Amino acid sequence: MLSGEAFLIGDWVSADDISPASLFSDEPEAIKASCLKYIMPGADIEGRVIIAGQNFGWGSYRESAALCLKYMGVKAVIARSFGLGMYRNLIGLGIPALIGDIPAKNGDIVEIDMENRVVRCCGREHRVEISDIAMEILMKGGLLNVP
Amino acid sequence: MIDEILEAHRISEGWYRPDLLMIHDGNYPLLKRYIAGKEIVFPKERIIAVADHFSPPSKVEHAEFIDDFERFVRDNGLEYHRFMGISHEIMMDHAEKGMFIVGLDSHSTAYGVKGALSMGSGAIDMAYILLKGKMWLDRPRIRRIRIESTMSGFDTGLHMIARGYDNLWVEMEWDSGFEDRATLSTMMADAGAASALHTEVEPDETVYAEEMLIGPPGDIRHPVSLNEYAGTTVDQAFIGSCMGGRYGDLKRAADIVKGEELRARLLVSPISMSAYMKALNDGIIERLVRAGAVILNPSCGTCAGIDKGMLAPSEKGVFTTTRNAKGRHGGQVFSASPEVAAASALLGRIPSEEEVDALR
Repeated sequence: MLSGEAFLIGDWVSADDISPASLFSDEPEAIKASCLKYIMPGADIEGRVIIAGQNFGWGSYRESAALCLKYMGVKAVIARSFGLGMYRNLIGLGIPALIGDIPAKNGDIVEIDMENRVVRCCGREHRVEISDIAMEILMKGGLLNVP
Repeated sequence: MIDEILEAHRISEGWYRPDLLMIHDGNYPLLKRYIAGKEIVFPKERIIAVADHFSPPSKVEHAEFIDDFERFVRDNGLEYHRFMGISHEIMMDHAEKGMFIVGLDSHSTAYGVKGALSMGSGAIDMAYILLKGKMWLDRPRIRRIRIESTMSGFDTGLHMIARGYDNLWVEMEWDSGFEDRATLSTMMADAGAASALHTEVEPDETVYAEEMLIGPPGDIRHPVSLNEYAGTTVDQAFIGSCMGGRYGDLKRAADIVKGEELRARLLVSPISMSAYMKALNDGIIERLVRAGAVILNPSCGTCAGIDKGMLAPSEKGVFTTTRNAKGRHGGQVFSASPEVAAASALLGRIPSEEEVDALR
């Protein structure tokens, strides 16, 4: 069972907000350091489950945004909706990107039951959506493990 | 049309084979880690490589990216376009109706103007296509749209962004010129669409675009009426990028500045060398330069915040760039059409729609 503390991030956080193009690098440490730099500097998302609102990661398909979340050890992202590039990059990297509306507060423990597409939080269960093909890729640990 | 193209490219449930790929220097550094030392099975003659982000490099680190990218291009014998224009414009010469094209950049929706099903990808999706020859797709949700607009491609695009087409595969019909339709297909990426293909449609909806819009700083996704910001002081305008540097955009800008002295800085970066040459031969570049504009070479540099054209934190700009995220260009950047950007440079402030009309 996947679980972690909730980190609330709100609506309309773009890929460029998550990892700005002007800080582009191919070095993991630099990509990690770019994380949320201009909108939430110093945000502690290490090991958290990100709970986002509308259109999380919209805009650029540059992988830096999903990669910085991976390098920060983000366990999963649950959003009301995703930008397509962010959604595909997260799934490709093996990080669950689930569609759902979770009424968590910052720091609440969020448990994710992937098999049953259910998230447990705040004393109850919430259904989350993920397509079958995305689930298959996640179960293999990411796109590059798919034959 | 989208259904037919996907069906023609389907390998098995959820897996599709693209016809053509575009890879650029800007995202290659993230791609290379996945493909280093591995065999590329995708047909190499159908991979177009473009150097447009570090065009040319402004730092040693960027020169190293180009050096690396060119090694990849050489080792694989790829068709290569170096510093000749923005990839999405270069691809217009390669995209054909009915093709399924994937580009390593979100604005790869652009080639939809040619009737191709074209979409962007991140590094890992592109790596998988190169190594396995296929791409996964969720079942597409398709939206068919008729557009009734006499506005420019950029203003029509802002209307579509304001409406939002997130995660939809769009077929669109708009009776307008090629360049404006190309700009619209490009901007559909920022409306959230997976793809934006121009074809005849039985529409699910009709969109009417009748006024000029402007994207507030940091928030191109929520454009408002231009007049809401009319009068705001402007320090710099930028006309360029895959959404605002076409020949027609340069011509519209030159018609507005008319060779008169500008009250704010104006930077102009044509989308490609061929647009640049055409504008040069037609005297458009001369009119812009006589007004005080600085002509930059074709590049994604300013748009992506990589090099030239940045603002001081206290400054305000009106840019035709694809995005205006906080911090991307230093100061506060409004997103608006090439005409509004040109008028802003001329007046030193954001114009009203009436003023732009009067300046044309």
